[in-house]
Amino acid sequence: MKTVKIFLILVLVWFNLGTFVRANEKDDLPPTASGPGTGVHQGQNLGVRLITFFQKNISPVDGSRCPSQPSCSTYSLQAFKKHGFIKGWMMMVDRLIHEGSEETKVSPVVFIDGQYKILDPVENNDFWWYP
Amino acid sequence: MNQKRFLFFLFLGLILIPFITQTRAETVVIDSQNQFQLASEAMAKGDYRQAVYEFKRFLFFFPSDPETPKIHYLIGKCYFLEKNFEVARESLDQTYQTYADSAVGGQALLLIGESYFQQGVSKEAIYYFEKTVSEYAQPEIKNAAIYKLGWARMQAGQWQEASQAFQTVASDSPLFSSSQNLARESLKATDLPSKNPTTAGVLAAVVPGMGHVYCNRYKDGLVAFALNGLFIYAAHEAFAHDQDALGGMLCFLELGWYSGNIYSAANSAHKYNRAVRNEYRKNLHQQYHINVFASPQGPIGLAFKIEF
Repeated sequence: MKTVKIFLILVLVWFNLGTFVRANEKDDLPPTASGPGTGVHQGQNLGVRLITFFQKNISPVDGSRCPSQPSCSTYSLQAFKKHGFIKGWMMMVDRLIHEGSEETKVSPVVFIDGQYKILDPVENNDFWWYP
Repeated sequence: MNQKRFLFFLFLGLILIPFITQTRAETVVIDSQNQFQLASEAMAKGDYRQAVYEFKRFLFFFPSDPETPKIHYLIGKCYFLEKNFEVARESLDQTYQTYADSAVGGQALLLIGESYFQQGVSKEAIYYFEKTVSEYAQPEIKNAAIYKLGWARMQAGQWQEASQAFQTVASDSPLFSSSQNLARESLKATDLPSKNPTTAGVLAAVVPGMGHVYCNRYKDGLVAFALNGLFIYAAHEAFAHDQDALGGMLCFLELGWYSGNIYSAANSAHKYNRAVRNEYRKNLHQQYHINVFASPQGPIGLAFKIEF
């Protein structure tokens, strides 16, 4: 029973976390003539702070191994900024799951800095939000 | 004394004569035809920036020339060919506003639509092609706009509407034959294989990873299953050992993995459908490609490319 209560509290916290940690965010704008998904969620939410910390302190030591362009941390940062904490987190997890050879069947491959990388920006993963 | 003065002036003359002959420049007269030819050649060579300069020079020196409307359009077209779409649209919009009552206005509107089409912004492309169809009755412009409208509707995945558009191209238009083929082929697109994003999401919710397997992404499915399985197992073990705080944290992280797995499955289905449709459109483009903007100047020219 205690476990169930803790679980339910965490679910409530999770789905409201975007509200609690959101700061200076604006509503998503509708798609503009320059392409879908150009809304602004430029707030410094928790996700942005975590990824920024990772990029400054952990990534330089760990090195870059990401087969995609942009890198996973940059992608996550862009997703958090564009869509807020909750949706950004889901998109980050989606990127971590799908960054593999199977993605080359549905996304283009580009040659950057002497390497072939899968072109997979945020717009490649939220295009269907804007029919 | 007179002799000395004579020698001085003779010496001066001998020094100055070469300069006099050098400063006598050749006079060239450039008329509007020459200037237009210069600009057109730059455009034909692909030096669009230089072409814009020369076209603007034309407008400066010959503001009242009858070719002025065409020049305004060509400036916009140079930006378009350079893929500077935003600037192209601004220029073409000014051309449309200034010459709305003439064919040049229709060409400008059509090219605005094409710029959106090339950028993949189907909604705007459709708007401008429809606007061109409704405002311009000249057959060449109207049929080109209808033809492009069909392509834009295909790009937007509106296959039925695309077929209807292609069917309205006039029978005496050079685009008629291609349009009839495209009207038929676009209807076949409704039978293309597809994956249902809702099904993918529900499967992922029931068993993490199943949604990816449904979308033929087996490795991704395995990753999603393994990650969610590990976190669920770890959380269960933590609660079983009365480590509620740890269990709570693991549950919190697992919520992220679980919801991300559902989103990823649905996203995979959408990407699959997009890839299938894009491949189909690419094949149609290779089979029935007609560039309605082939002519670099003057009225809209048409170029055929049909591969057998």
